[in-house]
Amino acid sequence: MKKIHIAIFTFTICISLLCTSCIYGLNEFLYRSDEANTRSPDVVNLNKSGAAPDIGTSSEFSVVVITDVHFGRNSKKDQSRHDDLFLSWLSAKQAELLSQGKPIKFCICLGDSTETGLVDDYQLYADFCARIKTQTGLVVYSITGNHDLMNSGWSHWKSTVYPYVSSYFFETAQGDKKFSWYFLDSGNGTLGYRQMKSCIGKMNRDENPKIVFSHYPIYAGGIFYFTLQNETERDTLLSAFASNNVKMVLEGQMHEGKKYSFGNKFTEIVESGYLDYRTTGVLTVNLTSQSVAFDEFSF
Amino acid sequence: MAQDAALQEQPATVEAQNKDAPQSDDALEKINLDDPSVANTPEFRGADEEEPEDSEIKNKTKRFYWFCSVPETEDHTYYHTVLLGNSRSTEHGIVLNNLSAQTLYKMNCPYVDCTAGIQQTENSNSFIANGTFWIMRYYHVLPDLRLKYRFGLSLFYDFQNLSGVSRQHNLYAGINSEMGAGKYIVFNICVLYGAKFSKIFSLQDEMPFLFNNDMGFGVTCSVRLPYRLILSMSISSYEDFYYPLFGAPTYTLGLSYTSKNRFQIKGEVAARYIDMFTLSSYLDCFWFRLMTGYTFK
Repeated sequence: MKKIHIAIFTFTICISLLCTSCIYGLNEFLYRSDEANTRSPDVVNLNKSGAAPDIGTSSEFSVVVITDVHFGRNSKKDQSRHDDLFLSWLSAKQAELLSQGKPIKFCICLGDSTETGLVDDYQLYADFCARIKTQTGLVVYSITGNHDLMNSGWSHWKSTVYPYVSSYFFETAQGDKKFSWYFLDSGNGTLGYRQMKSCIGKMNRDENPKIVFSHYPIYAGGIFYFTLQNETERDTLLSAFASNNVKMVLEGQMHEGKKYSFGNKFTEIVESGYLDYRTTGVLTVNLTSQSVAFDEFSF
Repeated sequence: MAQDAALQEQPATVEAQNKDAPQSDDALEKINLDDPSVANTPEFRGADEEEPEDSEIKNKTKRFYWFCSVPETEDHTYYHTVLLGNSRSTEHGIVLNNLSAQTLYKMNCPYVDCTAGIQQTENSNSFIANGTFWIMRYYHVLPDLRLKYRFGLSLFYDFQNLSGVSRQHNLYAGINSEMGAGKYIVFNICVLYGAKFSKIFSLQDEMPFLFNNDMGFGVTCSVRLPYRLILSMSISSYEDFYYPLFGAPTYTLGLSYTSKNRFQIKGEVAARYIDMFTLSSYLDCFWFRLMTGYTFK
């Protein structure tokens, strides 16, 4: 056998081993089984299924938003995790906001809950959500990120991560003062045709002011990576947001925070990462004034 | 581009392909040195036409041509090609079952390739115009192989009107490099910078347009097969009528046949990916395209 043949054979074997042994599931680099259209063909109404959060009698309340939790790895900055610190911060913040008349009603995680999408990572995330529930009584609503879908992670997601779907919406209301919350499954860097059509259709029929959550930034001021890659999809979504009283779009993925204003229409906020930046956000919704505000905090 | 170049190549004389042929001056004289006129001749001119004899380049094994300079015997014919086609995507991704009608016009001359085209789909209309000016062409005849290299500047413009949603203007500029090894294989690499403007109708009172910086790249390999067939393979961050952001490449496999009477038929299958910038790349959809065309002088 010629040397060149041996070299090609060896190279092929090495690449194959690299792909199959990579914890990020490189063997799925060219094809993943759970495509967006089959995974999230419809934006599910959680009010109908009874899974929507209960906000009690509060007309003004808060929601804690975290993103890029990445269970399965440590922070790139100090090679450790600070989940206990976050839980301490959350308990303190819960008491503080309660005293201000803006109690925290639930939590949101904007994707990349796990690092590799493997079952062990999902178990760590499920334990983390259980600790939040036990210590503060708050339920965590999650959407998928790209890391969650690695290694066919969707199969674990739909069995372990509340609310067991990744594209949904619900309504919070006090009398006729309402707010709608839309959670989009952008874990593949695209919503897919069916989810986008479902989302726009539901938004068109929904007159409430809205808040939208997505793992992938929709525009983020014009960066060309880590955002929705298809501009037709992006423009269609932004057009729907502008026409349907969307107040704010909250996103993750970039780890480094970013904010972009679409004039008086709505604001797009890319939240800083939980793990690498030890950052969390508090969203405050006032149903009476139909307003929404967002602040980031370090813990 | 590389595919076009492959289309334009004319087969060399038999002597040039015979590795056993003596590499004397006489032998080199018999070799078609792949002058620009030949390089820009569509393949239908191939086997049944005489190759021009270029006394200027006899016995020279390395030649450079800059800008519009050409050998005395240069063939200044402009070749025009019109292609009509239909494309359909699969039931995946964001362009579910998208059917489009496409018309392309291409013009080739020794130092310029340019293309204009329109596309219509159910909810969008597109216009494209692009061109490459080959500022340097280099030809090198080795004993066993003829190398052809050319380098140029490319400009792409794409306009898309998305009904009731937005108008997009995509402008790309960059460098284009092409190498032909022998007469059978051509490699083309294109690297571009892009500026993208998008006017969203429902946001236009707040923002005149959205702007994106972007990059583009394309790598194409064209292989000439027997029976006037050309096989092309490419990885590219853009397509004829599709200019997404950088991390969404398309893998294309195409096969074209050009008859002696200049009719052309071409079939392509492509896989579009989303977010290959990260490790979580995703197969967005497949699309298929069938085109027919005719070339005239």
